[in-house]
Amino acid sequence: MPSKRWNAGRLALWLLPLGFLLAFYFFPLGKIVVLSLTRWRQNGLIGWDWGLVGRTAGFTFYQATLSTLLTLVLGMPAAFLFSRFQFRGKGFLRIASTLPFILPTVVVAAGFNALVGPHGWLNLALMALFRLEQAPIVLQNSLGAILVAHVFYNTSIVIRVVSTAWEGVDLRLENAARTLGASPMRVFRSVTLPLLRPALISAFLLVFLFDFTSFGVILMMGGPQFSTLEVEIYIQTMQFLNLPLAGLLSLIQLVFCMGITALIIATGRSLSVPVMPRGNQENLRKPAKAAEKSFVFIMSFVLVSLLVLPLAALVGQAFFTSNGSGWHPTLQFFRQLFVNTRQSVFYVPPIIALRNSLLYALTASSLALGLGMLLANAARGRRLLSRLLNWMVLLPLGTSAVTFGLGLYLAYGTGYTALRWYPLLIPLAHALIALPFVLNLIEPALNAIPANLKWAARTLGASQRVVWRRVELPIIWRAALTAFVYAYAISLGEFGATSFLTRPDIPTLPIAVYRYLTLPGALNYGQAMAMSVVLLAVCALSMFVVDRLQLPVWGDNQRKAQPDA
Amino acid sequence: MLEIRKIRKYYENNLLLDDISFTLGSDETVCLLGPSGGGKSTLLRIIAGLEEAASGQVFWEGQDISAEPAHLRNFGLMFQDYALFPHLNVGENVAFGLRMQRLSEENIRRRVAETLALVNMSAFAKRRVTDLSGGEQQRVALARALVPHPRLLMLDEPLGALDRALRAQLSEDLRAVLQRMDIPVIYVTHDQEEAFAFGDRLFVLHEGRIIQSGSPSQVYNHPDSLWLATFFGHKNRLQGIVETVDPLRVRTDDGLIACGSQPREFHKGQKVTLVLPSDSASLSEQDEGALKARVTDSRFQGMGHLVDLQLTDGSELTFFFKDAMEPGNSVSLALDAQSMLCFPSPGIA
Repeated sequence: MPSKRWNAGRLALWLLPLGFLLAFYFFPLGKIVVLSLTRWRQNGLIGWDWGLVGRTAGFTFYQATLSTLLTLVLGMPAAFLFSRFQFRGKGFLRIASTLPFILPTVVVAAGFNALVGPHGWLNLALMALFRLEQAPIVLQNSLGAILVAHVFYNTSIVIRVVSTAWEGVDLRLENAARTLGASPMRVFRSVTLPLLRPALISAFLLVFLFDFTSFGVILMMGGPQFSTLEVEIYIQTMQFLNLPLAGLLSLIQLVFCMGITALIIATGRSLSVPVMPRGNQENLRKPAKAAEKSFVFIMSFVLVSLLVLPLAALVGQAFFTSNGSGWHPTLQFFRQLFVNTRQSVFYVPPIIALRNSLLYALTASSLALGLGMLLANAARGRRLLSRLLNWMVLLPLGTSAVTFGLGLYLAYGTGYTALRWYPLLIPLAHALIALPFVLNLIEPALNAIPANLKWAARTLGASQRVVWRRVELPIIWRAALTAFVYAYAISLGEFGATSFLTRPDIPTLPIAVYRYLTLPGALNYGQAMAMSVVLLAVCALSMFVVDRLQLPVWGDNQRKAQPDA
Repeated sequence: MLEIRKIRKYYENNLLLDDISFTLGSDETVCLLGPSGGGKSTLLRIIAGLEEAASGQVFWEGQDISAEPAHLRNFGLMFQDYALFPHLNVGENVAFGLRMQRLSEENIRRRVAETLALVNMSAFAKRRVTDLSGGEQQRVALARALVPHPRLLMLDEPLGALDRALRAQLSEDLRAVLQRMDIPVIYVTHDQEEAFAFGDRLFVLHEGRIIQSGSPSQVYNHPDSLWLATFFGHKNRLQGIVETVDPLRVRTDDGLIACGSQPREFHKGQKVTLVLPSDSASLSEQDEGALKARVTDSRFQGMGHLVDLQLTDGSELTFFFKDAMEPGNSVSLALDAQSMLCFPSPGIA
């Protein structure tokens, strides 16, 4: 196409995102590698604490496998519920099960704390009921807590990936098998399950990747005795200043993550953002038989208990206070957000953290969206480049947040330039973390635009740029806005990378919540709850917006371009 | 006006267009006929400047415009699937090209209204294009292509996505609209009836080449190749050997068959394939020189009857007759010599 010739403008559109990735992704990674290699040259194999490395890697695998299997055990029936049944409250359940995906880890930690922590509602209720001296449920600082939080987080991914596939399984296929004499169990085993297998595999891999790189959950809910690669990198950096060991752990982490990411790509799927599709209505039915009704009821109950109760408990803890004789509604925790108390862990009132977070998130999501648009646009119609691009943006996905943080910290966070760079590093890291998600929304939307539309506009006198502005952009704006909201929510709740880059006087909201949660005292606890509620509200609002946006689906009368070659 | 010179294009290493050349008069409508997937649409995109040819040039009024970007050519192109902008309503779709020309709002409104009236879609200006039926979309697409007054209009299977009944009606309307335009038109289709109805001149595209051109009746009545005769739907074939050259007579297992003048020369003793159009036979009173056949099947076809016949040597032919015939009956057939199509048998030079 004559218009696809290289020129300065196109080249700049390419170099901009490429330069960004080079400067803020590859260079920092290179720093980590160099750091470890230098130490390697000095000490060789001996100088490392291999026992620690092995234990940490082993536990990381162990907890990730266990969490993923548990998530599938809950997610499969939940996906069945969503893809086959129409029932009251489904809309609410849909949003409720989408929300966790973008919920900050600190909010989740605070939520479970509020429900089943030492002062959680459940424990308080049980203690009151049975007149117990101590909290009967000890979930805090246990493997159980980690597993529950991971299931909470990732059930939404399983539901999304598997139910989309399940909706695609034509009910007539199952009916055909029934008429051919297969029992319902047999139908599931011989027809449904084989058709779901690709979705199950990709759900497994995605969830495994997220569990493998989980940071905040382990740190806050597992307590000091549990350490995954992510947590250990943080501890080695922040507590022992053992940067070479942190670098080595990062490299190990990187290799594993890349491996899993490669598997995800090899199985032909990329990550999906859990925007719940309002899919095929034909395969949906109202639960009729007693067994179906009880299934729908029990599943809904389980999902609500797991997904909604912790958040409800959190809200409760933020708005109520106990004065020994009972619980009273209060706004004091929220009022305190505006006060710079002497005992405060920061030099600023907590509300400043909210302002910081909102600003960082705005910068990060704008950056991610801009980069995403440039990259997606540059890759279009170029098979090789678009493959390369897929890899390049999946690299950030396969890079854990903590590795990002460490890399950026090593590259720009130390030395003379540090002070000037600091406030910018956080949104940069967040933009990179959000980039794969942004691209995953924008690229398909762009590619779904039939070539004929662009051609029609061209023959009507529109230059390439005008086509972009007047045809393509208006068509993908929903996808772009959804991507923006996602990036915003991801940035708002990001904890892993931020924990490396944050400065005491410019905290983000999740960092502030973490600090308050780890401090003793009822006021600190209430503050943590109140700030979590603010985060929760912003995230819930984001999800609501995304749900309202309803990503465009191409109708039947807008067939995809199939040029008559 | 338009001249295409030696356009060559590859598709995944296969030659898709093999040195296509033709010229187009100032208000001529040419029809590009050929099977689907034969590169017709690609040729249109090359002319429009949307795709680059491997070699060859496009000239407009003697100037080489091959390097001119698509949006500066002012060639209208209407797509088979219409390619209406889903985010714009009917009126805005039609106005798109005028907005590109930066005309005044007043001007745009007037011309959009005029053109929508031309295609009988005035009442639809505010509608969403996604709510339109196939036929309505087609009209909007036509209006959108016409409204900027293109120097050349290209239609890519404009009726291709419509069902039969709608097609007949819209075909009439489209003809009427095109006749009012005095611009050159290139009409691409795989449907011969459409091609015959629309083209002043017909180009047949096969395996990347224009294998035949001429007026529709010329091309239809005298297809140049066995392939084209088959493409036009002629199924009756007989093998034979040339007995006399002038007049051309062919010896077959079923007797001697006289042929009218053919576009190519034959020599005595040459192996040939005769194609017998299904309307070229009539019942014969006399046995002398007639083709003997037995009726095997007869079915009603609206305007008449299609009758399957078996000749004495076993070959099977199907002809069109006004009246039904009784299966099992023997008949004598007279063939219209002027309709006979004679081709060298494949594989023999």
